[in-house]
Amino acid sequence: MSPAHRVVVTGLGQVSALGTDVASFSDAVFAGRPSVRRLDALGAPGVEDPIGASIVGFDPSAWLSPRAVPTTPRAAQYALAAAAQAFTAAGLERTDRPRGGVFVGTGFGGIAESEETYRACFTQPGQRPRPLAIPTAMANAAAGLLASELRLKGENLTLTVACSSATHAIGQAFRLLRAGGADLMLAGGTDAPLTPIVVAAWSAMRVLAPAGIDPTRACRPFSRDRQGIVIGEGAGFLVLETLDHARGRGARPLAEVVGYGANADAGHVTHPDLSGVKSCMALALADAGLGPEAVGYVNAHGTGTAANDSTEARAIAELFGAHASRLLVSSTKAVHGHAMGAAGALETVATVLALATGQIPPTANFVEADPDLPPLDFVPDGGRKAAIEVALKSSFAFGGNNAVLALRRMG
Amino acid sequence: MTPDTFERVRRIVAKYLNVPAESVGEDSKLEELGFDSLGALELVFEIEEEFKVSVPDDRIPEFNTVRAVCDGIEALRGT
Repeated sequence: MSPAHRVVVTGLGQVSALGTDVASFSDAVFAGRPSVRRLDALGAPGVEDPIGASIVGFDPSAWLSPRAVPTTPRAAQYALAAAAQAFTAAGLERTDRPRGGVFVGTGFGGIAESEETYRACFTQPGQRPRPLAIPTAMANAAAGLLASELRLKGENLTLTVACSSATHAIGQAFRLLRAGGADLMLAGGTDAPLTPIVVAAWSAMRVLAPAGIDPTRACRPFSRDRQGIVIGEGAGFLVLETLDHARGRGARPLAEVVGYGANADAGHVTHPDLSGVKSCMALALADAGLGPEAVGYVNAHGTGTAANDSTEARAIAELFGAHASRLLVSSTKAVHGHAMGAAGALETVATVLALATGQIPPTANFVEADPDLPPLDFVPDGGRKAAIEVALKSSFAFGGNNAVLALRRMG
Repeated sequence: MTPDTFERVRRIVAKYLNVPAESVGEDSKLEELGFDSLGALELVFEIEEEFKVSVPDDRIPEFNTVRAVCDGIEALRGT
């Protein structure tokens, strides 16, 4: 077996409620400034006063030919915008790359387009599905678009693992690169779940935070008064490459991916499992060859629900033991919302920025410690300066699915 | 090909291509205008909706210019 390759991040890109470039994302994430608004026109059945971290002012024609815009699904538009940013930031040209691939995580794929097709066909007599109904609804529409636009002719996969989709996509790309199966991978996730039925269905599960007087205060991860999820949308992408490949072309690494853990609770479909979550973090550390004391920061899944945050905080406290008191733990979901299949990608972008800049993003809207949770440092509003060496990025999904990445600062 | 048919087809083609209707001529070739195989299916779909006709699969290859599309529609409508 050939020796393992080191894998580095050389480019970042994102589209979210916080803006359509990495600079606006970084400003809002590190300031703990949420972008959540009322969605009065959504038309989600049975949902009074819906809110979301929705994208405003996104112009797909900045990334796609105007002709392609109406026939390109929204999640693929977001993906291309984020991926093209990452590509440009990494200093890459759009030339054919047989050893460059694309791994995309998505929870909902083309559900916005599917809902429109169903609405038209079920409500308008004689209405048929359009010829593009299949290519716009398929979950891998984004992956195909990224390959053709950015000329990446290597492995091209779509991972749909609910809320841990993007984290798995990054982790699987890391494994492929480490094993020598590719030189360069575009990995991340995309989702456009702010649709009438998806929002109404989440509401039916009774996990959405109510709008309240100020929707930007609705999502409060780890805080005693937390009240649920705020759904977000968007895409995040990273250019990952072997260190040799990056050095060979003179690219500047932003951080190194050093470990990936993936496992299943084999338990309840929606309720997180402490041992599964804890084991997954341990798997990522073991994969990286690191002990818990090496970690300085955990970018948590931190959805803002009672069950997730409680389980996750306990798992962190148990795994890290005495070191837990020195650990910084924050969730950025209050700021950009829970972007579902894209969440892990946006949050990995935040984690790479934390490693590269020595800034730790705060848990926005954290107002009061929950006495039922272990007393971790959740980095309440304001953020922190800390030159951390290693960070974990966790994502947990319905279906009892867990994914954790370990990332290291470049020396 | 009647002026009415041409105008309606031209409007559909121009909308799909996101170009001014004036840029679509009677003898414009669909492939040169930018229609690929999937685009051609979308065009046929729009024509079926607009003209309330059903285009058989084996007639689609004949639809290679704006004029051929218009003539084909009128043949299908028996006008």
